[in-house]
This record gives sequence, structure tokens and C-alpha cells, in this order.
Amino acid sequence: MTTIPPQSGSYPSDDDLVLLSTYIDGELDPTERNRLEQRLDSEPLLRQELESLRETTALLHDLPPLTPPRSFTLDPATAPRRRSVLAFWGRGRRGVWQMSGLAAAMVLALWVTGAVLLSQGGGAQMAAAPERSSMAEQQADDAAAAPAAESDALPVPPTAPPTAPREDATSAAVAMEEAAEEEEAAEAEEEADMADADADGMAGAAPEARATATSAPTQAPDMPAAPQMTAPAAAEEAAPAEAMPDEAAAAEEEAPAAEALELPTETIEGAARLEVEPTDIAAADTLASETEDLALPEPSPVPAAPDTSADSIAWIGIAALVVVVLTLAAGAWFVVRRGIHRS
Amino acid sequence: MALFDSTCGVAATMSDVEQNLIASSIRGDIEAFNQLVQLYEGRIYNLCYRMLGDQDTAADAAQDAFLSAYRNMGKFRGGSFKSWLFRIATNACYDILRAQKRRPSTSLDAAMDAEDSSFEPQDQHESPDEFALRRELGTAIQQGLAVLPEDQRVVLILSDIQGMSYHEIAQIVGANLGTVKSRLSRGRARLRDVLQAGELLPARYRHEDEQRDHA
Repeated sequence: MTTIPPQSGSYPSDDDLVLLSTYIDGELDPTERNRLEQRLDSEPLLRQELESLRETTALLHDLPPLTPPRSFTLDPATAPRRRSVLAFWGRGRRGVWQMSGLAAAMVLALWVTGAVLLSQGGGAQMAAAPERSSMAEQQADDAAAAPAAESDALPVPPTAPPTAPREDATSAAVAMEEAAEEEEAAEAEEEADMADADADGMAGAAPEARATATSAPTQAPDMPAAPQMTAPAAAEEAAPAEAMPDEAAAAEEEAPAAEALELPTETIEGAARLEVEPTDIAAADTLASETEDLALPEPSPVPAAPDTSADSIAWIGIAALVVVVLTLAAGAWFVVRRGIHRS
Repeated sequence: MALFDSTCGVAATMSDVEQNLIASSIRGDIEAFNQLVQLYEGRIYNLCYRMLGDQDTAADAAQDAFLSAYRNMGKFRGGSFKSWLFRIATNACYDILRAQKRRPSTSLDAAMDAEDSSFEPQDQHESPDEFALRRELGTAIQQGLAVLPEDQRVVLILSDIQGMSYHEIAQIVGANLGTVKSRLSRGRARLRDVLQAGELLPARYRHEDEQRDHA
């Protein structure tokens, strides 16, 4: 920094101006400050510059604050509503939109799965798959139309410890629904939502492994351990276990979403905690439609790979369909929810 | 966990109350958000007024800013909420200034002519003369600010009227510290030149300046 010879009428350089301005704010480091103070002693014009800048700063600082002419609080009646999350089955127009979106996702998933099974399967399966898929499609439609449908097959007694991961998913979802309804566990909402999606994803992974990877039954025992994993890990685990590209895409879609929320690992702990909580039967009714779907594949959870009778293949196919539907539904739910948050 | 909490407590610059309000607002709680509005509306309005120089326009900008903040709460990723909010408000002001440039009818001159109508009324200890002088001074400064380039104006307002640190200003305007210092120094020098040369300052202030210069 060269010393500028003080000349009448000339302004200091830009660098000096920055030095003076920063000096006024007390933000110069000690070395710079000492050097500047020495120059101020010997350069009256620089000192004059400093004083005038200081005065201008003081003028601004002394301006009295102005009172706003009105309040800018938002009117709850007209403000854009960003009501959160789990009012999924819920009330009002948004609920209807979500339901129809979910139904559309289910139909699409069934159609795609049917096509995949068709291209994979043998003669008997070729005939069976489309038929089953259209039947399941009908179920999906029914489920969408009547979410409160009764289900006697609900296999979740209030005190029974959760055994099948799919049931975990359901009970977790129910518990979360409760939490959201009462709007008391505010933080839990985000966690719950995440845990729900994770649980769905993991539930989808386990039977899928059994259904498609029949030659490698060792994968099935791994799956019940899934709830202890972190969200991305679970998604990664799920993805390779599945042969269907749609599934993999859905699982991958969930993984970044989980990371984007920057949730701590407590999320999964929360899920586990919620799973062991006794399930409210009344609340479970709201999820009856899902349970109905779930009850269907129960009879044949056995890998039974060597026994390739047309009947068992068809059952496995249905199980696969239901699992795909549930996973995609969870994904769709997620997407819809995030979308609402953005809008 | 306890360690984590304690370090957070030290690092936190916002009060717990505000943190809770922010968390609730992110979940869509409009009542909580309105409490945040009440915490900040005075300062946000002042920023908008000094940027735009007109009461109604400033109120519109402030309202736009809070609406936009509410819509985008989901995108708030921690850090200083105040800086985030001020950044939104600054952008709202830029939007209005850009629109004004497209429609030259509401030009700078209109803002220049405007009286500082929202000036605080005279208090009991102030004579009518003093109040008139103070008001004249406020108008002069506002007109001086209007002459500044926008990037200098906003830095000057945030620093010298709102009392923010370089670091906060850098966050708000999205520039590095060097740029902030540079804009601030040029803004101060420019405003000083405008106030002195343009004789916008009331006579008494100019007189004091001269006296001090000769001292």
C-alpha cells in the first residue's frame, strides 16, 4: 500500500477508502490499524476524510426507526396453506387428491408388474398374471374408494409383538397417524412420516426377496433385521434384492429423500419404538384397505422354489404385486407430500 | 447427546423461543409464523422503506417478503433465520425496483419528491423547529440514499441503519467480506458527497461541518 501524497481536492484511493471505512467499524486487524493511525497522524486530508465518513455514518445511525403503517402478519384464512403431512387419509379436498393420486399409482404399478410377469413367466403364468393383475387392480380401486373398509383379517392384536415386517409397517403407520391426528408429537411427525416410508420400503423388500430370488433363500433371513438399519442403508439393501427396475427406482427415490430431510439416525430408533407400541384398533380401521391387501399373500410366504406348480407361482406373483403396490404407494405418498410442502 | 446439546446451546444465536417458532412454521403453523413476523416486521419494513423511499411501496415489499418466507419455510436449512429473512426482503425490494425501471412513470424523481411522511411525530421534548429540522434531515438522507447504486444502498442500510455485522451482511447479499467492505466504503463516500454537494442537508448541519473542518 503506497502512501498517496495528500493533494487538495483529491479523494483517497479505493483501497484507502475501504481502510477508513473498516477502521470506523473497528474491523481492521491490529497491524493494519496501527499503520493507518500512523498515516492519519501525518496526513491531515486523510484524517479529514475519516471524519466526514464518520459523520455520514453517524447520521444514518441516528435515523429514528420508522413504524410500519400496518402489521404484516398473514391471515390464516387467505394465506397459502401448507398443512403438514400425515393428514393423508384425511379430510377435505387435499385428502381426495391424495387418494386419487395413490389409486392412480397403484393401478399403474399393477399394470407394469403384470407386464413384467408376463414377459418373465411360462405358459401357465402368462395366462394367470394378467388375470390376477386385473383382479388386484380391482382391489386397489376398491381400496382407494373405500379406505375405511372393515377387515377382520387384521393380524395385529394390541399387545402382540410385531413379527412380520409388513405388519410393522402397518402398525407404525397407524401409530403415526394417531400422532398426527392429535398434533402433539410435533417433531415426531417428520420422523414418523420418514419411518413410515422406510418401514414400507423394507416391508416391500423382504417378501420381494422371497418371491423373486427363490434360488437364494439366504436373503430372506436378512430382511427382518432391516428395521435396525439407517434409511439409506435399508434402501440400498432393498434395491439389489429386487429384479424389477420399477422397484429399484422407487427405492432409490426414497433414499435421497431421506437424506434431503437431514434426519438423524433417531428416525429409525423412532420407528422401532413406534412398532412395539400397542396398536389402536380403531385407528387401524383407517388402514384397513392396506391390511386387506396385506392379508392376501399371507398364506404362501414360503420360498418353495423347487415346487413350481402354476398355483404357487400365481400366489407368489400376487404377493409380488401387492408388495410392489405398497412400495410404490409409499413412494407416491412421499412425492405428493413433498410437493405439497413446496407449493 | 448431552454434549451435542450443550455445544448447540453455545453456538445458538437465536433464542429457544425463536427456534421453536421456526420449527413450527416449517411444519406449516401459521400462528407461529405470525409471531416471527411480529418479531421482525419493524426491521424488515425499515429496510424496505430505506431501499424504496416510499411508505406504500415499502409496505408492499415487506408483505411480499413475509409471504414468500412463509411459502419457502420448507427450504430454510438452519443457520441465521434473520439473515435468511432479510435476504428474502432484499430480493423483494430488488423485484420492485426492477418493475419501477420498466415503468418509468414512477421514477426516482417521484421518490425524491416524496416527503418522509412516515416520520415519527414530534415528541414532547422537541420544539417545532427541532422537529422540522430532524424531519428535513431525514428527507435529505432518504433522497441521498435513492441516488446510490442499489448494491451500495443495501449494504449501507444494513450496516449503518440496521447495525448489522459484515458477516451478516455478506450472508444477506450473497457476497464475500471484501465485496461488502468495498461497497460499504463507496456507499458512505458517495452519500457524503451527495449530501454535501447537493445541499440536501439542512443548513445547520452543513454549517457544523464547515466549522469542524476549520477547527
